[in-house]
Amino acid sequence: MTVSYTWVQWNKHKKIYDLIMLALSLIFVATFILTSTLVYKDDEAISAMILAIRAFGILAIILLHIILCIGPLTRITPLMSPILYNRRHLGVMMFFAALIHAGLALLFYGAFGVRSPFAGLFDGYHAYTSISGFPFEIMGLFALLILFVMASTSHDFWLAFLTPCLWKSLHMLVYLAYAFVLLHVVFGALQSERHPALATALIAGAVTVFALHIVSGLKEFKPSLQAQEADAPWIDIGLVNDFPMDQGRVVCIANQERVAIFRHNDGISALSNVCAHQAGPLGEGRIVNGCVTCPWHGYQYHADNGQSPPPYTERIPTYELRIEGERVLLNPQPNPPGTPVTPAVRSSEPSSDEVGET
Amino acid sequence: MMGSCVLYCGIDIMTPASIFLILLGMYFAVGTVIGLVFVIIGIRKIDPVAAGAPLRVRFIFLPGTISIWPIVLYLWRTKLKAGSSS
Repeated sequence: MTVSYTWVQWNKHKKIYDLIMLALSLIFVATFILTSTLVYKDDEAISAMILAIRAFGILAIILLHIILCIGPLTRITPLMSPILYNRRHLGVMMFFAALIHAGLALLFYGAFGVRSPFAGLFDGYHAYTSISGFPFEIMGLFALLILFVMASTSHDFWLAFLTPCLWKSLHMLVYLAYAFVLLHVVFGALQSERHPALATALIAGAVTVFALHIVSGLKEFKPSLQAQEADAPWIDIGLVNDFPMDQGRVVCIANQERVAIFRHNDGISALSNVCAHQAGPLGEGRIVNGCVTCPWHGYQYHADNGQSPPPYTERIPTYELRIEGERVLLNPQPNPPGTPVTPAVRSSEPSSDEVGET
Repeated sequence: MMGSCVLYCGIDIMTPASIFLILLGMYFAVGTVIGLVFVIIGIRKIDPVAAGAPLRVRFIFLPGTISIWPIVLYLWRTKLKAGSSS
């Protein structure tokens, strides 16, 4: 919902979200360094710089896992929607944690020498043909470069400039970055770590990310089995009472975009399920302040015309609905984006002709 | 390895790794030049919302331009053509 650009598009909720995540991140780093200092003493003592490098590295990995899990978790249960809101800021925070990790490591291990610290990343003591000597830092560098691309293009300007489709494709590179991060840890920290905790946590994290994506994918797949014929003149999509008040519900139509149905006040409205912002699932959202609100980033639309409230300009397609008796009927042909449609209300004289099969 | 001739920022220029680093540095250098032109002048002609934003705000787009400047160049050209034809 953009009428003008600012450095960071904060609102009250996003500021609270960011402050909480920042506070938790700093608490984690401080706790990690303090705990490690207390546990490892005398001969086993580890320098504060190395502990800071590890703390920020682990923090970045934890944040990356959270970011990767947020999407599928939200698809599995709407209860997780609040953590999806502002995910981009979390991504930028994760990039800075990774950047601090890389910067400290580069300074600590490579600075103040004759050779460039960057040169040591690639050659020096490394052995490209051995597992234990493989230059794991390069994997980290590749991951950091990808995360830089994503963080630097996270502003809403880039979404508009690149178009949502290209922007989304670019940001799918997070999975490649994740693969590089896993290799970075496997060829790096795991080669010298004797305690199984790190390996266990890494495997558990990867399995969790993978499993959540599979489960949410299966959940997405189920409704499309119930898809109905798009060429039917009117499609019966259920009883009026099947649609909860002020909550969205998704209807699948064969070979077409899904439709988001909203029951608000006395009427029922139908909109495209695809948010104009980042193609978020509007039907998984709800009515907030009289507007359909996308669960991903809070973009809003009037239910009766698919238009964002002024001064915002986003528009999405609308659909015709009518109610016969207690049945809700949908015309599967979408109207052009922003077309006003009167919400369907209960009719006193129901008729049953033209109704497509369910 | 071709000896230890240190030619570029302490990197032996003859190794594949150093060539990669030099290319990476050149990519970011070119991106910085293009990015500066883009956020100061170019962006105003293709994005009306960005045109209304002060320069200090438009500089937030500089890192993004540096990171994906080939895509920016392509879209910049496309949008300029579309704008002039309409």
